[in-house]
Amino acid sequence: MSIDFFWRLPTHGCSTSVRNPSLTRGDWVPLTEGNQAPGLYDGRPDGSTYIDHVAQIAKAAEISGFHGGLIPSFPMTDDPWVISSHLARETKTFRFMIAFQPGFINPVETARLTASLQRATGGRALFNIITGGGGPSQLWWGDSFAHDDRYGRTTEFLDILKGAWKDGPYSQNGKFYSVENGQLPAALAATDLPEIYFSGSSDAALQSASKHADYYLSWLEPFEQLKAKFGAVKEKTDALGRKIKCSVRVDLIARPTEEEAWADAKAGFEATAHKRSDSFKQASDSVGAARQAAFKASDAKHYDELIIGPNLWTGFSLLRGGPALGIVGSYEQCAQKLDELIALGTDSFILAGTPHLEEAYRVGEEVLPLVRGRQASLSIAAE
Amino acid sequence: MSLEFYWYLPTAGDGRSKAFDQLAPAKDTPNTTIRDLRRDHYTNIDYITQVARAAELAGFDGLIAPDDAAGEASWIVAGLIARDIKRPKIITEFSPGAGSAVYFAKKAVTFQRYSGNRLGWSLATSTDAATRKALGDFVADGDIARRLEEFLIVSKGVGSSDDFTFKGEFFEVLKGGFGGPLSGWQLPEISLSGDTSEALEISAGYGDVHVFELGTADLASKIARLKALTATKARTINIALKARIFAHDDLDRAALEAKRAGFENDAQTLTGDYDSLAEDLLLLGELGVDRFQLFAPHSLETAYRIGEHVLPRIRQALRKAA
Repeated sequence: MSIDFFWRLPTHGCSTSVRNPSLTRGDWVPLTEGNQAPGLYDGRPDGSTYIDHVAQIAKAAEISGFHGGLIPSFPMTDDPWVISSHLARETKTFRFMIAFQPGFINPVETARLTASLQRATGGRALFNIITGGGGPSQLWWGDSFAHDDRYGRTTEFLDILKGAWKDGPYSQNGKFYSVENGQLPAALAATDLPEIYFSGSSDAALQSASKHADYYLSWLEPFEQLKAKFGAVKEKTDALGRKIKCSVRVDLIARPTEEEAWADAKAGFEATAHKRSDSFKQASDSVGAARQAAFKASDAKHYDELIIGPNLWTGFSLLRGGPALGIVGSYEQCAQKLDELIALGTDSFILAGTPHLEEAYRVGEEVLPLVRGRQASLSIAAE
Repeated sequence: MSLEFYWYLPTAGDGRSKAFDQLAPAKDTPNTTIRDLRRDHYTNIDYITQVARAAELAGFDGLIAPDDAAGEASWIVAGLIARDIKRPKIITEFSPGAGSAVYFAKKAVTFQRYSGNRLGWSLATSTDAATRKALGDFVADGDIARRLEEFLIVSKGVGSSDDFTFKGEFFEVLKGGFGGPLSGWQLPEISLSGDTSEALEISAGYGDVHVFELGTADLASKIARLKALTATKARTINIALKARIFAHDDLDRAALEAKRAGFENDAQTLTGDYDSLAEDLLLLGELGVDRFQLFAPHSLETAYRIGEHVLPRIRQALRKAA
């Protein structure tokens, strides 16, 4: 069975270099030397906007062999539904993995949005359903439900979304959502349901995932821990009668040699030394975020204190918002790590590197061709 | 007087070729004597985007993606055309029952950033409870207006402040609003509609545009009432008129097309040759209409006919009068 590779679209700017991690692409920082800020020519607006840069990345990813890209959604980002619809007609194979929380849009409306996007793209929409990860900041979004309640809500949301889409006229009377005789127009109903990537490390999340998810998505965690987690997910969802696959979202610094890769990690570490902050110290009740914060990347004095194994570095959260653990190494070593992840149960990857545009080409050209997948996993397992 | 012209995109079919439009009521059996290379490469969406571009090239000022449950999702259609359409405004029509006020405001910010502040919102909720329930919306008849008002308070609040708190019956938010490059964008222009006192009251308080339908009884007095009501709130509002339209250089042919489509002598339909339509629209402009929101079966041809023949007549007349 083949492995799916996705890239990530940066929805709140991108850095020019991992060696100097400031969001210099896009309009999230003021214009300075070295910026590539779409929309400005010699300091004046030129008619382009940030979407023109995002479009470049999406096209680079599809040309380089990625199936599509995750489009993250946070309070400070641009919005993935808007991005997907904007790029639908100028990409050919790129699949749009839309991150959203069920509290944002009601399920029948979401079914119609997605079916229209499927029609516009020939079935290239996917969901990354976010359920936990909010805590007090959920009220910023106008959402007041408690953590475990939100998983119950996600289950109902997907019940109704799928019901109205495929089994209309559909009725359900739930705790969070209800519908009476909901359905899509026949032409929309005929489109395929999107694959659903589901995250969440809590028990409530797993229960919900087992009903509706196609892929269980995790940040990279130490391999034994991840293996146990994927094993538990597969066991639990098997028991509940639904086979789901596992996916890992991970950043990498891939270079022709390992020395160059670590030199870039070190440079990025040192360039951010003056503003150490852990991006996950915000108010959040996410279990996965707590696991990443436990690496305490911001306490390190030297970059190599953050090396927790061959080619594994927990300093990525210092370079950009997001999880701490990622892969640093030569092209061969990066491919080897991906093979190890496949061996422990990974069926799909969401990769990212900085800058997203050039690294999509680099990883697509240099790393992906070296991934041996299941063939390698047999020999790894035998070792 | 200046007049604007908007075109409704045919999101739920356009009464045309059954060969590619899966939303058409009856799809023809494919003609197997012709090798058809389209397979499933085309949907109604490809046609909708062509209509949008046609309306832009023909000189329309804006496009409206209607919220029709029998068709494509308005927000997706708006996004799909946004990269192709450079000048016209783009209005998405949706119900405050479709989701969170904060989230719609957030989507609007991205849209404004990418389009240069060209997004408008048209907010409306079905008055039929069964229709609403089929959309997952169980709001009571008597609460529709209050929910609309809360939706406007919250979406405008988070769109214009980065520390906005509100707790209502339908929407709430704590320290909401957008920072950094997401701040400082124009709020979408708000279109509202309806001709009840309640509808006029909300429009006076929150609307930028109020949409009446052609055939509304006592249109002139309703416009006057709404404008007066809006003035008491130290605001102004523009008036839009929504109308179906059949145009042809030959009046009889225009009438024939209207009849064929089932809209002969219809109160919400304008039918005429180019001169008479220009005259009718100018007269309506004198009644206080600022914007015409037009639609017709066979949007592509009609948008071209209106844009090439009627709009120049009107614009020339307005220039002369100025």
